[in-house]
Amino acid sequence: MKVTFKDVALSYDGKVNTLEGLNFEIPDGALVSLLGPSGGGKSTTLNMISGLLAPTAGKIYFDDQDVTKQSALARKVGMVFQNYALYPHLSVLDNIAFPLKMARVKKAERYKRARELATLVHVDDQLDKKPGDLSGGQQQRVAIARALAKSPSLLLLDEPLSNLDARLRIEMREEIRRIQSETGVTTIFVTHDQDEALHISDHIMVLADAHIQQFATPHTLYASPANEFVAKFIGSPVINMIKADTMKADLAGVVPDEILQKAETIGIRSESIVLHDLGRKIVATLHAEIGAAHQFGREATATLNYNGETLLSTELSSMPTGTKTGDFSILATGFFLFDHDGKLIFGGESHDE
Amino acid sequence: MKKLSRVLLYLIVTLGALTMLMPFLWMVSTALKTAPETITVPPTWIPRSLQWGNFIKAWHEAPFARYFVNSLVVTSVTTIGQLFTSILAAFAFARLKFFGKNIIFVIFLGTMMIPGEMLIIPNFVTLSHLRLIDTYGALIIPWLASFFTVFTLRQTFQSTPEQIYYAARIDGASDWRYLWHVLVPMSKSTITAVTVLQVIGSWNAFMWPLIVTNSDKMRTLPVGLQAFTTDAGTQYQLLMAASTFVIIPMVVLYVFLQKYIIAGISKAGLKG
Amino acid sequence: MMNEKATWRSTVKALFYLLPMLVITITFNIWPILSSFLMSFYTKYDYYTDKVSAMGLDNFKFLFSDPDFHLAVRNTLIFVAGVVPITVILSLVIAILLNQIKWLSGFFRTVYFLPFVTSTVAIAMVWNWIYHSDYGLMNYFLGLFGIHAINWLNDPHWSLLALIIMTVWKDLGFNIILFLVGLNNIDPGYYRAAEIDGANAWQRFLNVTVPMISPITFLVSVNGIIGSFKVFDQIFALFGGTPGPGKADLTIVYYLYQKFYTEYKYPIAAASGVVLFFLILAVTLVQMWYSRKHVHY
Repeated sequence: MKVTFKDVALSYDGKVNTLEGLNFEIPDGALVSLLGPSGGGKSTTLNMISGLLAPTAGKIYFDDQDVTKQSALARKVGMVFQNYALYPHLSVLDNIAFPLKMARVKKAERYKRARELATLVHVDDQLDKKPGDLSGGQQQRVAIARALAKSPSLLLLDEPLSNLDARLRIEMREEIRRIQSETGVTTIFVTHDQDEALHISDHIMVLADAHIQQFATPHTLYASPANEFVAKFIGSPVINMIKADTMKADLAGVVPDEILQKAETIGIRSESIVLHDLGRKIVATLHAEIGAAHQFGREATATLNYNGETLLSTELSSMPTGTKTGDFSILATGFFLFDHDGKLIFGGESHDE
Repeated sequence: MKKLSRVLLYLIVTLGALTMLMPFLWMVSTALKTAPETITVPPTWIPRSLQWGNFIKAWHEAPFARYFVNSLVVTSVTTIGQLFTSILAAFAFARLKFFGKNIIFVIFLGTMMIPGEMLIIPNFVTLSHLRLIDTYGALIIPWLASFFTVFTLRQTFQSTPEQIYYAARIDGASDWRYLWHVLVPMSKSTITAVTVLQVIGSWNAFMWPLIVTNSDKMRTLPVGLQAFTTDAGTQYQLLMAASTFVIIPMVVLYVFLQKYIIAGISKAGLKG
Repeated sequence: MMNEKATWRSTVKALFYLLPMLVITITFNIWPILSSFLMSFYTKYDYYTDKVSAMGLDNFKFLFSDPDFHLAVRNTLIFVAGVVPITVILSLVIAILLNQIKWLSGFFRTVYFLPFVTSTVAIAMVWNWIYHSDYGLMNYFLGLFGIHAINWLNDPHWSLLALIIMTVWKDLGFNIILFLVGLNNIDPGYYRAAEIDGANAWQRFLNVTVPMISPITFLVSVNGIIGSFKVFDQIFALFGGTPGPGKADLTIVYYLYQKFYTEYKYPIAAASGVVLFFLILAVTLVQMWYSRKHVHY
């Protein structure tokens, strides 16, 4: 099912808007992540989709139907909560069957469906246990099965992986991807972890400061961030940000003058600072002093001192040891200019292919 | 030294326990004696021959079967009724939004300070105008709601995670079905505790049933037992036998549901 | 909904949930409170027709000049002063002892708590028999120590004490449970810290247990005072439907009962109820004032 927001705003206290001017369309069958720092409005957006929160202004549509005034009961979405919110007094089987019981599905039928779902999420050997006897990952699976029980047109997940340990997170995010592609249900996933979002989503919506910063595919977000915030928020290690003035001399001629004049900040991805361009398009060559170098497992980083700014690069492992200074190429991919308001004015789009 | 203090500790605790048990032992012992043996000096603890017949005799000396049925009816109806009204009200206070919620709640909290004995006179007047004196109605209706129970349940309902409430809504449960399918089963231990406390209170209640019953056939066990003392006079073995069967049901209940009673006292008692 | 506000619709819905409780409590709790305050000012009242022809302070004037009421207040205060301190101290001591033992502790708890669940009337019958002047267990035990038989229930000097002993016995278990909860809630870290600081067992008791248990002690005392102000069942059952020999066990609630039930003087009974209310209110206010100031939660 397609979800559309039109000029949606929400205020908890009637004064400050937690979210405003929300306009977007989530395509049918997609897996979409809502990503952003805490307090950015991700869960608020999700709860407005679920019907647990009513928007203060604007309209919400499921396909072409206006559901703005409908309660959570009527919207028939499936939802997985951050701490799973399983019913502690019910067995795994009864937890999964609960939405069907509420829909007054006959007992035999609802248990049959619950068993199928338990098999789908791989908890079919835990059916008689209570949620309290399950591990975090198993509870997560049960919560997903319960959310899918009434064959919802939308599956909503609110930070579903944040209570799991690192290894289990990776396993479960693959599981969510698998279950989503097997069921084909439109899935909306809230997370504050960019890695999670980048790995499983078809589209990512970055939310911060009450607004959508950017809504695009993971690749576009990385290769062509709409603004400084997105550029900084997406990518690890964090993008290098330097004042435009420090580099203007090296950029003259490459970047049109009128753009260069407006440029306030420069963003350079650490993998775009290289020793040899190998025929790739470059925007500049910098002469810099080499600072500290670190090796973490198979990753190597080195810092460069350039006109009083520090730049981090991950592509300098082939540099001969003992080098003090050198000339480094800046690749056109991963080079961005932002204006006074943080908006992207150069880089990104043209290198997308 | 450590061992000695341990022995001493157990000695004191055991002596105390014996003192607590003494009246019960004395009651059962007397109930099994012959009339002459009850007044022997020094008193005997173990009867020379066990007079089980005393129980049967006492049971038939007064309409105890009727008292028993009355107590059973009054206790079960008040307990179930009070539980029902309290669960509904506690849910409204815990989860629903409505005008005047805080004011109503504070007023009810205030009424908990009022001694119940003050209410006896107006309630008696109300019930006699309704022609309910000396009926089950008088014994039951005033106790069908208790703000104390509402208060205790509200605390428990409020402490259940809000996310479960939202999850239930998403799963298609209306407030009504959430209450009965999720909240009540989840609060089972508190509900059991208040139920058991209510059963004990209701079974042992004396002043109110004493005041609103006149005829023998409406008396509850404690009132009936009190009336029986005037008939039994100095036949202590019969009196003790009758006391025993008034006490036994609650003792049995207590032994089985001890965990819940103690949890209930800790919860309710600590809140005053 | 999460950000739902109260509306007329939601209020109507809530009313549906509250209605059964409201109907009963308004009829049998809220209205009677107002009604009994009003009734205490009725000076001419016909119960059969429910007609009030005059109002005033006469009922209170009567109470303050009635020697029986003076006696009732006096007896109630003596009763409270006897029962509460003994119960609090004894139950604290027993709770501390029970908290030290592991083996059979469940059994001991059960035993100490048993009186709480038993019918006051039934157990008062038993105590009536224990207090029997010729064949009772009490005098037999006292006799073992060479003490002369006491006519517990018929001698006005002793009958109030008899009532106090029985009440302490019955109330002990309830308070022990509360103290045990309080003792269990004390973080063992405090004891370890005190031990490291070189405090011996007695010093630990004085400096850790006593202050940490003070809120419960206070609560138990206040509950005890309020509960004891309302004593009635025990008296009625122990003294066979009389307020003790020579009214030695006449308390405020018993007075209320007599005026109301045997003398049909409803307004005077209501006035005595109002006096009881103000006594309890005073205790509650002291409680609020004190706990705001002194009790460390």
